[in-house]
Amino acid sequence: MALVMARIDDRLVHGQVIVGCCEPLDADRLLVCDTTVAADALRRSLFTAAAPPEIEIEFVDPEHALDRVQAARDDAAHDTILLTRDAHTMGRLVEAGAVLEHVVIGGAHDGPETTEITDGYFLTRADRVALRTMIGRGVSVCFQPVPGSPVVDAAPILGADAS
Amino acid sequence: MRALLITHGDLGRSMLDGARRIYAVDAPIEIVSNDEHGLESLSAHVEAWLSRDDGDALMMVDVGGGSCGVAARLAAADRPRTWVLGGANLPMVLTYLSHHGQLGAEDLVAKMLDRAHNAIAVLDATPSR
Repeated sequence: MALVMARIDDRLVHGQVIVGCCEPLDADRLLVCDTTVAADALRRSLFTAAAPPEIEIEFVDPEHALDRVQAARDDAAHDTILLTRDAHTMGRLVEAGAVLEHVVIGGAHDGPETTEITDGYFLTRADRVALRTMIGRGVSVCFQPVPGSPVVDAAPILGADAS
Repeated sequence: MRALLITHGDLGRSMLDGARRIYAVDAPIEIVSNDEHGLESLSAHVEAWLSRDDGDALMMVDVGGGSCGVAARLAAADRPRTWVLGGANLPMVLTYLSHHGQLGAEDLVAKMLDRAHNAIAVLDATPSR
């Protein structure tokens, strides 16, 4: 019982997460760390409705997320997936002191100022910097849509070295 | 009433292609895939489609709780006379093609749901012998 996945996904709560991640990992809780969603009742209600009732969802602003991530790590009663929409936000959590051994980039689509880094994954410069920093701090980072699909190590692609 | 079919991958294109092979008629229906779209990007795409016309608008999504459904509902949140239907299947699309010009929005939606629901059934089951 712990934090079973830290996932970067620009769709946040959707089928790949609910079915593709929660089921194989037996996760029963999502911790959605996102400024926009935390402040938007409509988005929160749509994401809540997207998940089956047995999956609990907590929304938190990244500014106040550190203790919630730690609580998820220590929670003996739940298996939690941490979600951020971009690498920059996940990087902020790590910089703030969140202990994450492994981060999965599950979905990063084309958008403003993005570059395709590897097949179907698009990152901004800020995202790439955040990921390199995370890797430098010893966090293992990979590209993987869902558990069970092929894993692509992000470090060599990003030209990053683990410390 | 114009329609937008929002699906994962090529499902929408294939479904519309299949439906048009059964009922070949021009209809104001467009498709969009969630491929290559994050949530906000897909929602913006749908919002642009909605803003092209003030009239009744219908969106069909494959999975209501997926990014297609969430994006459609986000885009439709403040727009009147907009319907978002989940569980899009071929009978639903066929019913749209065959009745979109004949029925008002409420009746068309009711018929589409009825046909879509009724298509999901155990057609045959062989008992153990």
